[in-house]
Parts: sequence; C-alpha cells; structure tokens
Amino acid sequence: MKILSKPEELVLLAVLRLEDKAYGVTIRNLLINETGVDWSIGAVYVPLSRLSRAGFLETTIGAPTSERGGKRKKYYQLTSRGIKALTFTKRVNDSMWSNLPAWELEAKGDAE
Amino acid sequence: MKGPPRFAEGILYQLLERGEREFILGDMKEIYVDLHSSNGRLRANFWFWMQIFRSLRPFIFNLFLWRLVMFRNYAKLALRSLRKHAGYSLINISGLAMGMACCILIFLWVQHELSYDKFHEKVDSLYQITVTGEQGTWTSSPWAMVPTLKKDFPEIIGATWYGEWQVLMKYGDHTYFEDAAIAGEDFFKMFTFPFIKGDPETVFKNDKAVVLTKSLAEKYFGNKNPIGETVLFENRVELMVTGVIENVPDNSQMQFDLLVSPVPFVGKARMQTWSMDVDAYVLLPEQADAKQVEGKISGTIIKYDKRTNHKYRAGLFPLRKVHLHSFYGTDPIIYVYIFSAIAAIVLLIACINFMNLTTARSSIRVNEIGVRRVLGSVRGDLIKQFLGESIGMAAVALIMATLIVFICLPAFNSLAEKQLEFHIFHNPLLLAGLLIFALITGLMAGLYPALHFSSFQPQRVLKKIHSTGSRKNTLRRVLIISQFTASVLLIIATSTIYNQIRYIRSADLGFNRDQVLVIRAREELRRRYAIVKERLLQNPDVLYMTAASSIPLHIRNNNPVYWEGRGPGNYVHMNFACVDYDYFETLGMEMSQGRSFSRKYPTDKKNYIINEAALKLTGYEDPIGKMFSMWTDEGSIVGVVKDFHGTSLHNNIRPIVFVMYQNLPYSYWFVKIQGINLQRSLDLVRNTIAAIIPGYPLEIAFMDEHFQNQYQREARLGSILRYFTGLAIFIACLGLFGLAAFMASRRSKEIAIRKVLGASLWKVIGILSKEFIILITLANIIAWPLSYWLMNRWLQSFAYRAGINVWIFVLSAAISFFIALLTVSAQSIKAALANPVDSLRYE
Repeated sequence: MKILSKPEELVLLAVLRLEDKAYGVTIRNLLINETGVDWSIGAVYVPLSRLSRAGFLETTIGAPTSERGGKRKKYYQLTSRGIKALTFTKRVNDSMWSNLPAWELEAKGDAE
Repeated sequence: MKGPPRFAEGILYQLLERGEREFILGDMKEIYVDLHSSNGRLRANFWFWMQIFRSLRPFIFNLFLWRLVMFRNYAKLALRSLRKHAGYSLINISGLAMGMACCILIFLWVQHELSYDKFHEKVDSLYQITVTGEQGTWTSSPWAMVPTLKKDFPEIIGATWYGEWQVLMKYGDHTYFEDAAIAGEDFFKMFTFPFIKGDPETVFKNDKAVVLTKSLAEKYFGNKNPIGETVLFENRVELMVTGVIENVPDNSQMQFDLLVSPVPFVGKARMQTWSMDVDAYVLLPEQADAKQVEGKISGTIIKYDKRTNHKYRAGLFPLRKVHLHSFYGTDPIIYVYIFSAIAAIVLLIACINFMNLTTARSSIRVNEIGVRRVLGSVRGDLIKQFLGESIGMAAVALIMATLIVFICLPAFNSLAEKQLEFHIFHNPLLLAGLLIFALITGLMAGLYPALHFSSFQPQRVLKKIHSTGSRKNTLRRVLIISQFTASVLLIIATSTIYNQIRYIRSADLGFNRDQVLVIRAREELRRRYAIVKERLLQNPDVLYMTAASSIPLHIRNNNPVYWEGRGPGNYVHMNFACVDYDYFETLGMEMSQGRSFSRKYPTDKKNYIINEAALKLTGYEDPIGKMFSMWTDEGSIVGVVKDFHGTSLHNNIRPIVFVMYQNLPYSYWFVKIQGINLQRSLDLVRNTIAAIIPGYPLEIAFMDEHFQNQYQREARLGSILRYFTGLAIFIACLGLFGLAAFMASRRSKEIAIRKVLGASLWKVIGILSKEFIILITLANIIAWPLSYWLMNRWLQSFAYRAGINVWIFVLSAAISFFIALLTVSAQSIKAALANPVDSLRYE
C-alpha cells in the first residue's frame, strides 16, 4: 500500500471533511484556514489531479454559476481506495508517532 | 462585471491542461471575485498575477532544463555525424567557406571602388567642369574658366584648377621626381584634406608656396619643422613650404604628394588664356540645382573665347561619379558590376553545394529521425534540430571564411593593386551582411531536409519503407544544372575577356612598339636634345632617334585646323602632335601617300602630315601638296600616314595631324635600338645621358610598357577573374565529388548485384556517370546563349574586339565535361571495383 504524501493526505482529509461541497475553492479555503499558510491554486490542484488519476478521488461536474463567469465546478469525492489509503497512512503515522523518546525537551533545549 | 485581467486570464488559458482549464479558471475567478469584494481590485489583480508567476516557475525551469539537455543531445549527434562523414563535412563546410571568402574579398573591393572621393565633406556639392564639343566630352577646360566663373556667377562659391604632373624637386643636394598637383586658392575650402601644420586659408596667398603631404615632409625634412623651408621647383623657382597635410587616402581620385599654385608652373600669362589644358572643379551651395547652374554656365566659353567660332559648351559632372566614369571609352563601373556578378555566382555555387550535400547527407539519417520520433520528438523538434545544425555549419563556414580572408588579403591586394583592409567589426555593413547571409544559407540548406524528413511516419522510417522520392532528385538535379550553368558561364566569360585582352595587347597598332625606348625629357634634359641625339646615333646599337610632344598612345591635345574649302573662320578641331625628323621611321609608321618630313625640304617646317582618318575628313582625293592649316599657319600636306591607334583601343581611330615646329620643346624622346641585346642598348642610352648631365634622374621605359599600362585595368580584371573562375569551378567540383560519392554509396547494393549478374566495369561506370553527363549537357545548353549575350555586351565597349569564337564554347563544354567526369568517375571506379560481397553481406 502506498503511503500518501503530506499535501495529498491533507487534501484527502479536506475533501472528506467537506463532504458533498468539495471543489477547488472550498478545499483551498479549508486548507488555508486549518494550516494558516497560503496555498496556491497549483498546490491544491497538483495533488488533486494526481489523486484522481491514482483512483483515490472521483469527480462529478457541477452546474455553471454566474460568479464563476459561467464556468462549471468539479466536485471531488473519496473512493473506497482513497479511504483505504487514508486509513493506512493514519495507521503508519500513529505508529510512527508513538513510543518516541523525550524529544520535546531536547528540542526545547536546542531552541534556547 | 468584475473579472480578472483578460490578458492574465489568456495566459492561464494557454498554460493550463486542456481538460482542467474550465474548472481551474472557474475556481480562480471565484477566489478573485471574493478577494475583489473583500480587499479591492488592486489586491485581487495582484493575487491573480502572482498565481501565474508562481505556476510559471516550474514551467520555465522545465523548459530550460529540457532545452539544455536536448541541445547537448543535438550537438552531440551533430558532431558525431560530422565525424562519421568527415570527408563530406569537410567538403561541405570548406566549400561554403571558400565561396564566402571570395565574396568578402570582392565585397571589400567593390566597397573600396564605390568609396572613392566620398571622404570629402562637400562631395555632393562638388563638380568637375566638362567641355563638350563636336568630338565628344572631356574634362580639360580653359585656364581662364576658373576666375571667370567665380566672377560671373555668384552661385559658384568656390572654384579651383586641378592638374597632376610629375615634377623635379630639389632640396639640399637631393633631386627627386614627385607627383605634384596644382591647386587654386579655394582648393582647401572645397576638398577635405586635413592640415597638420599651416593654415588652409592662407597657404596659397603667396604664389611661391608649396603644401606637402606628411610622408613627403618627412622624406625631405625628417623631424624638422618644414614650415618656412624652401625647395627648388623644376630647377626654376624657389618655393616655400606653407602647409603640411595628411597623406592622401588611396580612395581619392586625386593623387599627389605636393600641391603648388599654378603660377610657378605655367606663369600668369597662360592662366589668362582660353587654351584647354587643366581640370577645374567648382563648389556649389548645398541646395543648388546643378542642372540649373549648368544651364547658366554652359555658354561661358562661347562668350569669352573669340579666337574661333567653336561651339564648346561647359558642363558640370558630379565629383562622386568621377572615379567610376570615363569620358573616353568604357565606364569603369562595368568592372564593379562584373565583379559583383562573379561574387554572386561563386556564392550561388557554394550555396547550392552546401544545400545539395546537406540534403544528401541527412537522408542517411532517417534512422535517427525514426528513433527520435518514437521517443517522443514532435515535428517541430526535428525541424529545429535540422535547421539548427545547418545554420551552425554555415556559422562555422563563416568563421573559416574570415580566416581565409585574413590569410589571402595580402595576395589579393597585390593582385588588385589596392590596399584593402579587413576590419570586420569596423565594417557594420559587411558584418551584418555576413551574419544574415550565413543565416539564410543555413536556413535554405536545412529547410528541405527539415521539412521533408520530419514528415515521415516513424514506423515506416524504421521499417525502411520510405521512398527517397523523385521530387528530391528533381530539386537536386535543378541545383546541379544551375551550378554548372554558372561554371560554364564563368569559363566562357574568362576566356572571352582573356582573349580580348590578348588581342589588345598583341594588336597591330600601326606602329612599332618593340625596341623603342621612351625618355621623358624635362627642362634640363630637353635643352640637350641635339647633343644627346648626336652622341647616341654614333653607336651602331641605336638605329633612330626622334622626339615629339606626346607619346603616340596618348595623342589628345587638339587645335583648330582648316583646309581648302573651309575658311579660317570655319575651324574643325583635330588632335595633333609636334614631331621631329625621323619620327615615322623611328616608330615604324608607314606612309600610304607622299613622304615623311625630310631635311631636304627646308619648308617642311611649315608642312603637314595627316593620318588616313584625317584625310577622310578633308575629302581630298589627291592630298599631296594641297593646302592645310593649323591655327593660321598655312602649309601643304606632304604625306599621309597609315592609320595607327593613337589612343586606347576602346576608341575608334581619330584624325591626327603632325607638324614640325622646331622651336617647341619636345617632352618625349624616342630611341629605336637594335633588338640583339636590349640590356646593353639600354645601358648605353643611360650612360650617354649620364655623361652629358651627371646625376639627372632619367625616366626611361620601353614603349611597350607604356602600352601595357593603358590596359592595366583590363589585365588586372582578367587575372582576378581567372582566379575566381578557378575557385568557382573548384567549389562546384567539390560539390559534385561529394554528391557522386554519396550516390555511389547509396547505390552500392545495386552495383554489387549488377556485378554479380555480370556487368562490366565500364558498364557500371557508365550507369553511375550517365545522370551527371545529362545534367552537364543541359547546363551547357543553358549557359551558351546566356554567356554569348553577356559577353557581347561587354565587348561592345571596345571599338576593336577579338569577337567570340566558337572554340570558346567548345572549350568550355570540354572543360566542364572533363572536370565533372574526372570528379564523378573517381567515385564510380571506386564503387565499380568494390567487391560485391562487401555490399551484399548485410541485409
């Protein structure tokens, strides 16, 4: 099973959280709000399209709206493969984060 | 409707993947509208642009990285294929380089020819005075013309005499001959000759002044300040140096080492007369209409010169045209045209070569093309590759060409008798021309393979089902035909010109120019004529000696004459020469009627001898004893001399009259010597004169040298032309050689099979050469009428021409066939002798 990269993981989580309202703008807004970092369009789209191609996401085309200049939206949803990949990544993350030595103290010591 | 900037949107549209465009652009627009309402338009626009730049960064990076990688790959493959076919590559590039080099040399030559006199700041307002009469137009104008024009016409703001002579100069113990010129007070106001010392306004305030060029000042005075020094002029007048100017540039029509006022030269009295023996130049205001001024001044000579009822009209001829125009015979500009045409032809041949060989060579690279296409090259990439390669090769050729020019320039200079310099970076026209030229040649050579081969289907290419196509062969054939047409044209032109030059040089002038010495006699020597003649004739080596006012090749002075039926008021101008006894005998001129001047008849000093052309003009049936008169000296005709060429062979024979005024000084002496030992006779003459006037710098030459000098230009042209023709043919053959080798290698299998099936050596050679023979025959057929027409036009400029012989055409055909077959058969024989097994082993 493939381990997701951090942007991929975050994007998948954002899609998951947004349920049926997940398209480019909302995904980016959520990521900006949660991480506090500016995400460029490209930074959002590159993982989105890669994940779609890998079959972790499926897309549906929405209706055009006037605020988008008559352009349609592309909505994203997780596939079962996407869920599987996400669970796998979380499990790896969790196990990697457990049983660490007292690293926080040392890190603080370094910072001072 | 608020929206992101259209231009930025357009860029994005182009950059985005086709399937994603709509959604991404929609998203961006949504964010933009959001930003616009919360942070304002400026902020939103800024954001939008930033998005583009941020996404461009990897795009640009990729672009350059891949470009670089691909460039390395292209360069590597280009070099490999160059090395693999080193022979072709060498032929290809060096052929083009030679063509370019030849073109650069000719360009320099032409540029130099066209630059004559353009360094004068006022060149566009300077005019030479011309005089037009019944006999034509010439540039010698009356002495009195200069002051009269200045007095009568306010629109003439400057006028000066100008004439070049060799003069005797003495400084200290040294005597030299120098190239002098006479100039009036306005001279430096009109012409741009920068002063090093002295004031241009006042140098000729005093008549007894001389202006030296820098090199002459150094020769006489070394590092001493020359201003105020005196030199002895023609052993008569002391002249004071009043100015030093820069050396005269070699692209000046006027060439001199020192300038003097006309006063010490000819005296004030002569300068008031209307006798025409000096050039004159005038300066008009910048906006003046030369035609209008010409109309005003044209009647000046008629108005003032009342000596005879002539019809001489003055005219203006622009200085900028003087160098490439001739009032006698052909305009030298024709040589500029001929040379430019040669450059174009040689270049064309070299270019065609380059195209032919490049095309041929790239067709063996179809495999590479197939592989590239399979690996993802699009058509544009291949086109770029081929064009880049051929342009690169043209650039290499250009660099080689400049090297060749640097190496060959001294030789070319001595051939063309010029001091051309090659500063490629100081010559923007040349530099730009060369770069553009290399680019165009590269493009032309690369375009065909680029477009043709890139259109192949990769799988077809790799399975070798591509056809070489008849279209390409047609193109190549047309190119070979034009190449050889040009070569044959050059061969015919060279032979015709050479033939004409030989014809002129060996032409029967109507007088003997062998074993005749010409001595230029000046003041000092001129007075010793009698004693020199007496002493020389005592020696058996000297057959005759005589003197005359001019060399028989340059009889140009003219005087008014009349004869029975034309009164003194009804003059005609005729060329004349004053001669001494034995003139016709010394020069071997034959009398067709009557006798030559003789001591037996004392009245001969008032008698005349005319040539046949003059006889025709007089209309006398039986001229001997008939009345004839020059000025008002009536005498009778005692003889008629057979026509001889008194001027250049460009012109027809003009009427000439000979007189024998004993009291006139004769500037030219002629000595006819025994032909047994020319050197001994020459030494004898030298020693005799040295014994009479020790230290006199004798100017002596054979008549033949004077004669050859007249046709120097033609001779020079002929030899330059020969070299370039040789070069052109060589380049054409290089191309043919490469092509023949290539074709033989392409057909090696066919040849091998033919040989296996029993074809003989000759049969194979015949098969391989057949095509070239057809092409060269066609080239000859095209070239013949073309060159006939061209050479006929050139020959029209000679009054006496050798004509175009049939053998020239036969010869040129023979040469072209011989050279072409030699080139081709070397390859054919090699191919025919090859062991068939070698070609057939692999399949």
